[in-house]
Amino acid sequence: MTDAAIPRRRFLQLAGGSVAAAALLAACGDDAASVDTSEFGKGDVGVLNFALTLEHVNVAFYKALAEAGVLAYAPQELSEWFGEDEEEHAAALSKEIKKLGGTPVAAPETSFSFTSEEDAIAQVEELENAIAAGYLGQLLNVKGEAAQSLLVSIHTVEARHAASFAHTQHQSGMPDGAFAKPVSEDEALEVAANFLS
Amino acid sequence: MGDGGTKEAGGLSRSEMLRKGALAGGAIVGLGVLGPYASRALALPSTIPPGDLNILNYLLPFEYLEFKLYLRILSERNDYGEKMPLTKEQRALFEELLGHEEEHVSALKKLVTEMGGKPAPRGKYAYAFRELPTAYFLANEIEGYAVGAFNYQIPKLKSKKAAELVAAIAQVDARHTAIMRQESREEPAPFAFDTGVNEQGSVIEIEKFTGPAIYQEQGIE
Repeated sequence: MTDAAIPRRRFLQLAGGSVAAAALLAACGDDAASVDTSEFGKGDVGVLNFALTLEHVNVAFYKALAEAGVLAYAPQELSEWFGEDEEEHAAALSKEIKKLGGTPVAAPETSFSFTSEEDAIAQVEELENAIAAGYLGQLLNVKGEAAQSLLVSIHTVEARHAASFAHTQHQSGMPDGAFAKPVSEDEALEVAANFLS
Repeated sequence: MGDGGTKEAGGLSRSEMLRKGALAGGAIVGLGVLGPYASRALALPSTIPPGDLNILNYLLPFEYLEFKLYLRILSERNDYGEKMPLTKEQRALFEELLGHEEEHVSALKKLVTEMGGKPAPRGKYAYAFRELPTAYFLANEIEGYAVGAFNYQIPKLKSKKAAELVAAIAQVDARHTAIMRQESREEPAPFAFDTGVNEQGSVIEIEKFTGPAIYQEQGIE
């Protein structure tokens, strides 16, 4: 088993042990060849469940951040707005997964720690950038029109979130320059896995 | 522009409230207080024939429009010939945005050429703004409509290379519009979903800033 597969396993283990997750884990095996895009389910449902996993972490992140009380007014306001967006994303993804006959992954157990405003904003930027890049990496992997339109409508919103927090810190909101760069599922999950308990 | 907001407040959804606010803002500046935002030659069609080349050439003028806007802002003069100075930080930001738009234009033109097409020509743009807040407002609106237009076309592109490029640009333009909205004291991501906007919708939105001349000049009904 590769290191890259560890975040997947952890997510699936922490997502409530659904039948599908258990079966996928059993099929995961110990060799690199088993690390493929089917671990969240096959086809469009798999991609949507990958996206939903990221959204679950994001929803939990903003809830924890809102409660932490480490942010000044402006970033706190962003945090509350964006947390609502993430809830809408999770709900829309779950609905589409069910429409396609799949089972939405459950939210994993998460844990967050914020030592200061600077620390919290650095964490949210990293997470939102990874999610935006993760979506970008999957936009063209979905076949269904509705599923693809949904992912497309979310990817730029996640990018807005990341850029907004960077801007509050007088940093560039465009870390990749003129062209956003995609990341693989594993790369996105690796960042999100930092917040698993 | 996304329209997926479902949050209720005072009987209006968040989307409806924001839309009303945006329309009110547009109406104020569109009544001649500041004159027309831009003049002629934004070659946006109301419908485009199928095919990747046509889609790329439809999207290219959005990037021209953004590039020219940032260039105008960086001239530090408004359309009344008055000085409109930028702070060091503002200048650095607009230079960054300008650089991105220049790269977007180059990449789209290159791809159109590689695919055997002829890139859509640059238009002549003239923005009318007196103060920086109006320029920020213009930037966030134009970038926002570009995001909607780009997102709408991503699933329609047959070429993977073209779709990847358009998606990569859309994300960066989304970041631009978020920052411009912050500078305008507006919510950077006003909707939970950046729903795609079709050709006709994009032209209608852009017309708020170009004035009706765009329709007459382009022969669009």
